[in-house]
Amino acid sequence: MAMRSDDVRSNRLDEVRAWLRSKHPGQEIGDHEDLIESRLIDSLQFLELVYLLQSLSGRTIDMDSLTVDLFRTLAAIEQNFLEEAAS
Amino acid sequence: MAITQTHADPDNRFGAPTLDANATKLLSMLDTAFRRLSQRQGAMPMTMPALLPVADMARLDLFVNFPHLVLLPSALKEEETSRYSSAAQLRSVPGEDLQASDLVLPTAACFGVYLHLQKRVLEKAVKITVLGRCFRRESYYHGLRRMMGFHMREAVCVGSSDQTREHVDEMGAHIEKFAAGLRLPLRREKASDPFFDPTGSRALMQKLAPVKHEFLHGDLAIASVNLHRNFFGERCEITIAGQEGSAFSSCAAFGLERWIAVLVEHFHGDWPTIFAAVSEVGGLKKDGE
Repeated sequence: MAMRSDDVRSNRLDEVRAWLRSKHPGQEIGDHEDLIESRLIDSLQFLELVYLLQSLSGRTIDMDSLTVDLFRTLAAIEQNFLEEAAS
Repeated sequence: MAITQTHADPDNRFGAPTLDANATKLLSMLDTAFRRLSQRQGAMPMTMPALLPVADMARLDLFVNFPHLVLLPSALKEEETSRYSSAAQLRSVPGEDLQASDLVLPTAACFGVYLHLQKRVLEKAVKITVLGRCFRRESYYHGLRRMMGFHMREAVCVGSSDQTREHVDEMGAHIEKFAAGLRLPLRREKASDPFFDPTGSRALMQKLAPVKHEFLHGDLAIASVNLHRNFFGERCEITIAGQEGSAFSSCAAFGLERWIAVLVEHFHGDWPTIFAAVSEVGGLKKDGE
């Protein structure tokens, strides 16, 4: 049974949430919480996150086009990296 | 006319020039001016330790980020001391004759502030200003522009995210105003720290989310403002009463010898004019205090 694109997207976001939670055990992280300012994504993990998003979305991320706002919240990450590409 | 003459390091191999009387007077005047500026922003002057523990500085990622810059003091092994007491023509001391070092020479003046505040629950945000003697092992040295040991005046803010941003905004404006008063061309640019790995994750993140701005005269950064978010608050376990999570911090820094270098160049070595200008713009009294 084919998955609806919503399900695919939310599974991918769950993986990002799980990754974040593994870095910050026991911490509740809301979808609109500022991940950069609070350093929930800290600079050492940043590349690791980029690679995770690449592998989840199957798309290469162009480093030169990156801005930090793309990663600002879980909601932003979902919107910017985990949406199904228009076919 | 040389403003720095040194017999201790004639080829400037160690980046340790001597400042003559004029440069020394200017150093003091500039520090007074920047300290006063920081105090008007509410910063309390303090003096931090000259040396800081390796363990503490490792916790602040000094060795992760800047292992190439760190200078460490050490002492002779006890069993070597009598041999050295009668050594002739000593030129250098090899590592095997030294005890393991558990102290570092600070590379910036603000580290001591965060360590001083470690494990504290602060009633409210604090601002502290310090004059530090900082040390960096560089790949090359150049007059007063790049020295091994130099003076850094800093104004540090530890508080909320908003307060630390406000601190750098205000200090940045004062720095620009000070330079404008001297008619010293100064431009502000995004910058990055001299990380050991400039292609690594830290450098990339700093590029994307600029937390460091430098103030440059020509190609020389003579001041900077820096946001640390809650890095130091977290590593030093500093919290603010009523504020969730670790404290945020930020700092404004002045490289005093670099200011001397650019002022001498800008005013073509005219010391009376330099003293008068810094005195006026810095709000100093006639004797430079």
